[in-house]
Amino acid sequence: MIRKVFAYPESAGALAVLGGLFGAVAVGLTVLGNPASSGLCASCFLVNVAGALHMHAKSSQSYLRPELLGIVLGAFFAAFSSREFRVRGGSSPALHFVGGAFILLGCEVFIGCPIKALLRTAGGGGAGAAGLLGLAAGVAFAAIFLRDGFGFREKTTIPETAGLALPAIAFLLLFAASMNTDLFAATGIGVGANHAPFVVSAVAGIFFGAAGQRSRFCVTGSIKTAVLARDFREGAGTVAFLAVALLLNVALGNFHPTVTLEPGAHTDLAWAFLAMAMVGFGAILISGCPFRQLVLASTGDMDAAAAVAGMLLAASLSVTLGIGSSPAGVAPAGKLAVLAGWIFFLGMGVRQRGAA
Amino acid sequence: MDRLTGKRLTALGVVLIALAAAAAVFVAVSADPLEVREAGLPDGPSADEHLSRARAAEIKGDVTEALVHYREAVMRRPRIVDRRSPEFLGADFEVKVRTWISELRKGGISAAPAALRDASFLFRRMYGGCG
Repeated sequence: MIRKVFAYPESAGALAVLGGLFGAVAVGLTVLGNPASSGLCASCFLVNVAGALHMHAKSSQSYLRPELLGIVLGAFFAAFSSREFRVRGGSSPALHFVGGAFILLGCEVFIGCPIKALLRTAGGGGAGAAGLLGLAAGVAFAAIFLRDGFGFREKTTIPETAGLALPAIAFLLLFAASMNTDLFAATGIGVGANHAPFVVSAVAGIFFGAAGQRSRFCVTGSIKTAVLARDFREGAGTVAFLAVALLLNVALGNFHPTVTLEPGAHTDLAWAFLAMAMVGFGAILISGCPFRQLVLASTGDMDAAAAVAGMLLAASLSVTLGIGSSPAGVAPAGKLAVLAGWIFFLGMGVRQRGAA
Repeated sequence: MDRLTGKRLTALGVVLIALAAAAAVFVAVSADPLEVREAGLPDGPSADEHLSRARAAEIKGDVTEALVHYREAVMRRPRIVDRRSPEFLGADFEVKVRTWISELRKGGISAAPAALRDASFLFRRMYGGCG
């Protein structure tokens, strides 16, 4: 039974158990100190890591998130131990790099990745729910392009050393962070840098990475599979995540249906919808949301690694250029980034049909 | 949806690109695209100055004015509403913001409509995530 759920989760039940565990651990991290609705948010964590690596100067959003490094290591070990670590690439890495950057910017305008959209909705956030609806709409729209032959050139196998770089960097960073060195930008006291205890976060990250690799957990991917193939097994994981997070929030007294008082959010529902629609559309075209890109990159997918590099750069630009939103609202630069993302992905969608 | 293939899909893509480009031009000309909403606001009074003005307005009973200045102070120094920061304005302030929101919603305080928006901003900031 345990082997069926954790090693080879294929059935809707097994994927729902893992999705529910994801939701429980994510809410648990919030209880232990992570910012509101940020028990698991790949885009927020990337912004924090970019700050810790001196890629932006906002100390309140700088912290070398052990969860993120744990995700990389967990996914790597899970893939390696199940003989699924295979280094491949060459399928338009430049488009993945730019696409990854735009996806991250869209997440920053919404304030959170697709997983955080689930967590925000589970906390009662109106803008979170608007973003989740936008995400689903974007994925459904991308499915039309997939049906019409959208794709990239087939990936080829490349030397194994390239695929080991990301896990090696994650291991070194996690080791250095555990030594309390002053290599990284000082963690400011700030809401964005609030965090659960280091060891707990690292272990949770390893769980997210390993379970994410085995279950192929991906919010956008599960919607796509449901729309395209009428296969709802992956969707069971996403729904279980939302349901468990919602139940725990209700039990903990953290469920407050609201638009104007959602912690850390802005109230611009239209831009929340539009930004996450762009994220959903783009994530399907480049094969994964920020969390999924991290997992894929850790298992040797060099195109996903290019997307992660683009996301890291965008995380820095988001803060430096004032693109990311805040409770004060959506910045003009953020709106421009969302529209530019739409133009990029639509152009790619039109151009790449029949290219697979 | 099944009809949306080939040239029809290309046409839809081109139309949407044109719409997005037009919207981008509109956003760019109607606002400063590099306006940074919270960090680095060099002009005008400092956060401390705004806090002083907010307290003075509170004493006069002008909640609308007080909230404007609290908001400006937070824009300049977000840590004053971070409950873990030594600069936090304190539990009394936390209670005060909640009371203002509750009273403004009930109409228990006479204030301009913007007051509720500003109080809600302070609440979202105080309990906020990574934005």
